[in-house]
Formats: sequence, structure tokens, C-alpha cells
Amino acid sequence: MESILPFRHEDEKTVLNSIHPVVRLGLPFIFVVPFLLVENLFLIYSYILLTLIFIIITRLNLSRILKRLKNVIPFILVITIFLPLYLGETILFQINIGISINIYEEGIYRAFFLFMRIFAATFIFMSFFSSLTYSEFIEALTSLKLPAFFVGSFIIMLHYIPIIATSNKKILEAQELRGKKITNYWQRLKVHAFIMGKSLVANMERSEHLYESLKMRGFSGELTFAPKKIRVYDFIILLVFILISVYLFYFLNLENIYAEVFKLFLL
Amino acid sequence: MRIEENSKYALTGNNGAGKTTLLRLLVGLLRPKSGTIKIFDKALTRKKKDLWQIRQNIGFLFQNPDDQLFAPTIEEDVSFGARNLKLEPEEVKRRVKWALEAVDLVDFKDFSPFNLSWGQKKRACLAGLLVMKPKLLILDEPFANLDFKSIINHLAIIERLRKEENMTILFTSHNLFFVEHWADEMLVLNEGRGIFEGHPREGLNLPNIREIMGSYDEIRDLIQNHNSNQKQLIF
Repeated sequence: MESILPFRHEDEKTVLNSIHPVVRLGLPFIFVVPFLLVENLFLIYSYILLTLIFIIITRLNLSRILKRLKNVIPFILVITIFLPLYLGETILFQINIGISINIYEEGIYRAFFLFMRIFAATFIFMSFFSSLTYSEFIEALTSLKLPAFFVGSFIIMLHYIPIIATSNKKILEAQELRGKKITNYWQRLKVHAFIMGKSLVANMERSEHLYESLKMRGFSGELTFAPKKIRVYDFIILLVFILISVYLFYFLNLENIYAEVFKLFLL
Repeated sequence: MRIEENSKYALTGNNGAGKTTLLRLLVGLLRPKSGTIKIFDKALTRKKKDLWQIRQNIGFLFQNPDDQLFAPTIEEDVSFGARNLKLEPEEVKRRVKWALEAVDLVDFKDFSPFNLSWGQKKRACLAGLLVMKPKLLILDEPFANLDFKSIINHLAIIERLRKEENMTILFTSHNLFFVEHWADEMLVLNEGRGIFEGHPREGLNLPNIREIMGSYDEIRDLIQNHNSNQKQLIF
């Protein structure tokens, strides 16, 4: 059964298995933080490229990552699509539909930049997380010494995502079987949102059952899981990634490199 | 309602008769408006400490395994109850290994509950109760949504454990086959009230119980009647 969560199945072996989960959890941050701090599109492209190379070397399932990414893109679009309508001073287009709507040049640039930032960050996180199993992810959170209450709540939340998603899918299928026409993606999304609201209420009862089942087994308010120890080897991996990131960030003139490569392709 | 040690007791009745509600009352998840409940000769109280004393000896298997499994791996989930008993880590390990072997899930110990089938999830839930070595095993619709092969598998596991560990089984089911052939005693509930307590074969043959619960004969007659009608229509 393929889970909708961005984690690896326990049966799938990758070369990354030997790296401690907490390191694998930390690696995407090393890639994402620089381009969130500095406004540089070339930096974003470089990290996407590096992640792609990483996926190929470690033989992660790229098609599955892209499939999951595809589901997120509409949400990123919703966040960014309205920026050109109100941000900026230089009018690029003007649309008259009874009222005049301006599209600003600066807004388009900001929207594109924001889109790329969110897209790249999501892609990088999804790629690195796809090397983790669900249990490794929880183990990583535990290793980070996060409060037990936070980790426990997070686990329960994650527990319900696939359950709610499955029941949503079933309700949707039942509606389609009874003649509901869902012709495009947006319509599907709208129906999903409606069902989600109803499912959440229904799942409140389920979470109560889960709490009761925990109480029956002696739950006293804290969920604890035993994490493994981090080795020197894990620190070396972390250091290598930090060095790559620093090198990319400080020592390379990415704009020149991309321009040269671009010229090379044109000639 | 009295349940003898090491027996198999069925709670039956139609949907909404109050089977699950009664089970939840028995373990103190719900509080009775009147009357008293005694388990292992101790009255159920509101005190957390006393409740835990009683619950340590009870394994409650929920109808839906997704209501029980919560931990990142099956092994973690199974060990949850044992760790709450404050056992030595070595003893916890030993019990988890034993429970996983008992339900034939050793190969799945590192799996996330998301990646198991319904039947495997049910067995994982059972293992989570076994580690606590309960005297009383409460099973809410234990065979619901299981295929025949899985039912046979489950039944064999539960029966073997019951004998080896001297456990008492209290289960709910509206499947009359299990009630009749598996239970030593039964209580029939109707609209929240007990209407019969005794031997299943005796009870299920009583006209008023057959009237309320329905029977296999009724289903068979209905199907046969329907089939013969169809034949008349065709020829």
C-alpha cells in the first residue's frame, strides 16, 4: 500500500539507510536556508540541480517525488498568482473587464521568485524525506529532543492523515458512482475540501477512540520513543553538505556560470 | 452478567443494541448512571490508580485497528503497554518478541502501521495487548471485515493463547455463527437491555430471540425463495 505521506516504505532499501535519520532530516535545511535568506534565483536553480544529482546518485524514486510535488503545485500557485495584481509600480499589462486590472512588472518578478522559492523548498524537503521511513522520521524528531508532547501530537496527526485521505477518496468514489461529474482538477479539489470538513468532524470520534485505547494500555500523558545514537560518520556527511552549501553560497559566481553555460548551449 | 474465569463469553445483539457501550462501561471508559461493576472482585471506581490496577489485567481490542495503532513502528506500538507496566527493558523486549511471534508478525516489526493490511493490523493490535499478559481479553467484533482465511488465522491464535495463558475471553459479535459455536455463554442485548443470558444454542433457538436477532434459517429461506422466483420468471 502506498502511503500519501512523503516517506519511504520499510521494504525499499536505499544507500542512505546507513545515515542517521536526524542527519537526513537536517540535510534539506542546509540546502533550503541559504536561498530563503538571500534573494538569488541562480542559487535556487543550483540547489534544485544539486538535489536532482543527489536523487540520481542515491537512486531515490524521482517519479514518485514529482508525482507528490504535482499535488502541491496548485497550492503554491494560489499563494503567488495574485501578487502581480497589486505589487509594483510599472504597469506591464492592463485588462479592462468593466473594471481596470493592472498587472505589474515587479509583481510578476516577485510572484515568480516566491513560486520558485516555495517550489524548490518543497522539492528539496520531499526528496530528502523520501529517504526516511515514517519511523525514522519520528526517531529523528525524538533525537532532536523536542518536547514529548509535541512529538506525540505530531505522531497522532500524521496517523490520521492517510486515514482521512482514504475515507475522503472513498466518499468521492461513492459520489462519482452515483453520478457526480468531476471533470477537472479544480472541481475535484473543491469536492475534496467539502468532504474534508465533514471527515474532520467524523474523525474527532476516532481520535477519541485512539485516546481510549492508549488509556487502556496505561497512557499517562507522554509518548516516548527510543532514538539511536549519532555516529562520527553521520557528522561527516553533515559537514560535507554544509561545505557544499557554503561553497555554492560564498565562493561561486553563479550568475556568470549560468551565463557561460547558456552561451555554450546557444553556440 | 457474570463471566467465569477461562471461559468464552459472547455479547450479542443487533446494531445499536449497546454491545460496545457495555464493553466500555466494563473497563471504566464510560461511567454507569446506576448499578455496580465488579471486575476481578474489585469494584470499578473513578480513581485513576485503581482503574489502572484493573486495566493492567484487561486487554481491550478495538473494532477498528486504526483506533489502536499509533506508534511509528509495530514494535514500538506493541511495546507501549509493557513499558507502561514499568517492566525492566529486558522483560519488555522479551514480551514484545513473544507477542510478535504469537501473532506471526516478527517480520513486520519495523513496519509502520500504514503499511499493513487490515488483518495484519488486527494482529498487531492483539500483540499490543498480549505484552501486558491480560487475564481478560475483550474483543470488540474481532472478526469484522476479515476474510475467511484471516478469521481462521485469528481464531487459531486467540484459542491457542487462551489455553496457554489461561485467559478469559469476552467478545461482541452479531455473527450468530461465532456466538453459537465459539462462546460458552452469551448475553443477548436489545435496545440497551439484556434479554437472555445462558448457553448460546439454547438462547438462539428461543422464538423471541430468533424474532429479534433473525436466524440463518430465515436468510436461507429468503434466498431460496428469491432463487425459485427467479426461475419461475425465466421459464
